[in-house]
Amino acid sequence: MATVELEHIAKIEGHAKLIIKIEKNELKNLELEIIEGARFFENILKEKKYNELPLISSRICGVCSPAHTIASIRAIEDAFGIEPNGDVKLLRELLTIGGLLQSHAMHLYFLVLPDYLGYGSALQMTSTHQDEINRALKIKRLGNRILNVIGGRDIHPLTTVVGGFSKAPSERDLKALLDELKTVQEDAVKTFELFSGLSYPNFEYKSTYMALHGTELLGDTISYLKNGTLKRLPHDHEKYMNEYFQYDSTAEFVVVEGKGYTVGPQARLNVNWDLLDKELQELVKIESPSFSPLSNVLFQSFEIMSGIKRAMKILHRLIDRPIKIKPPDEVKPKAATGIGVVEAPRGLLFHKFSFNKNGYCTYAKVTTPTSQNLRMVEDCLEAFVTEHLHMPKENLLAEVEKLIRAFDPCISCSAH
Amino acid sequence: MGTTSNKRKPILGFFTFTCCEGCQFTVLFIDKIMSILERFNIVYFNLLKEKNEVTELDLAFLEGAITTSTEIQELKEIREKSKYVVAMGACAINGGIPAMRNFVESSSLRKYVYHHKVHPDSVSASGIGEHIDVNYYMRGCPIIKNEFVEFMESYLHGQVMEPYEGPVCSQCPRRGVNCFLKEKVECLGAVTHGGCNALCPSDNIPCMLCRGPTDKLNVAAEIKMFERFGLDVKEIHDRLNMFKNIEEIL
Repeated sequence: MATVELEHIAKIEGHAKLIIKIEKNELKNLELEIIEGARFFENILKEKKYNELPLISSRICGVCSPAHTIASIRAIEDAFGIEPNGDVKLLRELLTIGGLLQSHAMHLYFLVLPDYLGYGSALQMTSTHQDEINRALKIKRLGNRILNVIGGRDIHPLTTVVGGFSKAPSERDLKALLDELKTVQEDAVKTFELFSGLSYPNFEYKSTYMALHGTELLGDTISYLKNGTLKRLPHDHEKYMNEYFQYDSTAEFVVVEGKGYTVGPQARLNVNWDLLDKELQELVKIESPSFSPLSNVLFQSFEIMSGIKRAMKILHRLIDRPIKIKPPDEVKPKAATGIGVVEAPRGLLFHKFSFNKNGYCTYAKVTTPTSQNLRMVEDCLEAFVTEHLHMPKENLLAEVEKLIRAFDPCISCSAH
Repeated sequence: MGTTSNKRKPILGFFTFTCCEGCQFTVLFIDKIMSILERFNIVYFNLLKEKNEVTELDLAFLEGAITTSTEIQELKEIREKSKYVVAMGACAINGGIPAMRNFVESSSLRKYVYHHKVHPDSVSASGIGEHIDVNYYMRGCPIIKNEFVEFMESYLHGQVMEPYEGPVCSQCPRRGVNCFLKEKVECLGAVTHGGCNALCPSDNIPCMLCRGPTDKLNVAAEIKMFERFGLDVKEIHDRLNMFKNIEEIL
């Protein structure tokens, strides 16, 4: 029996381990072990007053913090019957786009690209690939600027509150953002061209793809593409999702109807291809639906372009007039349950809270994108390794790492 | 420290325990981070590098709370091999938000979230200072970019940066104007380490004690004051204990 191990998978967010056991040219066992420290967020959130929840849930993850903050706020608003106004919705969408730009740029250039160019890390690429690194820094900086201007800080937003924002961005800052977005458009196109030109391992795996219906990152309607048919997921997702733990892993794995599924950029594009910006659709020639998990990175680069375009549209609607962001003077808590859904950079994120009449949380459930993808990651790894058993160990490990990284797993989120 | 006579680059490592990795991402989000990192020989940085090794280190940044005995062993090894250790962020300094789990009774915790036994080697969550000596505390949740940059610039010139002295109030634009305390809001700026330019109050959010309490903190007095504001004990307690276990487990 030959055991191949990745003791501490590098270039992913968080701590995970991969063990592959091969015997007599057959894959005997494959385990993706999540060794991230347990933080018990769902229990910490319980018994806290509603206004503390977004501050705490933000700390589930450093790079997905805007998504967690907004998902919590939406769940609270859903429970208490608070409908945020149009400007608040636009600003939150902007914040989510900012988070997407930060996350995707970091992931693509720092975690993925080194693999395809033969480097151990982006740190080694600064002299030979100055242009690429600068481009990454520019897109990342843009994401940071959006988070700073709208949210008060680039990680763990401050101004996001139940019902609105604690402070409105200034006219000057919004105009500067719009200018910066314009200058980064070309970098976004060059990013897409770069990732279109890489040679990805040839591998397909038909999954079920789940995403928010539409082109926005905030919403209520979820669709999924299964065996060529697009269906709607009913509002209370918890009834359809089964969470479980395996081995000694601290992460939750999630299945629907007993099977793994995919969320994230690839799912978003597969589910919503017909609704996408026509101009962008023509600029790129992506085949949809796409069944190659490796191409998730190509879709990330597409989302940088579409995110910038959408952010510019939103800013045009906010500039040159006063913005209304003031939260209600009094939030009236009630004994109720609410759900908040956000398309985080890595996929669908659900926060579900129940409250007592004083606004204290009695139940909390957080379902993160990576928890939902973990089953599919394992299934894909099993299929991939089985197809490539003949490969020398070093090469196999390198290809396996590319596959894991393609999903952009956020292990901290999965082991909340 | 910093530059040496034979001009070799200082050996640097970034280590993560139990946390959201927000401090690490903050570092990577610094505009000129590549030009700073280039001046070091980085031997450990799992987020960025394929190959990582705990060798002898000049400078080590540690982020995250300690929650298992395995982590304690790893922590001790890093301390042994490092000349200078920086505790980066609220989790590493005070346990942070991961330490809120200490308030939930152990068995009910496991039953509620994890339906079977995990991590038999769990320990009470705490900062790294419970187990090793720390040379510098880089505060915040997350850390402040400018402080990291200033620290690194000083380090490369063979100096240690002086951390800011004074509470958050000393930098607050609301002070003497529309102080949160005058508005009967639970703001902890008076007893929190400054250096953040009162970032939260500047955005109309009361200070949450994320940079850790100064020795001016008198827990009983704080609770009494906020009770007089009309807040209830549970709310006061939760806010006080968000980034550090301030009080005894109730």
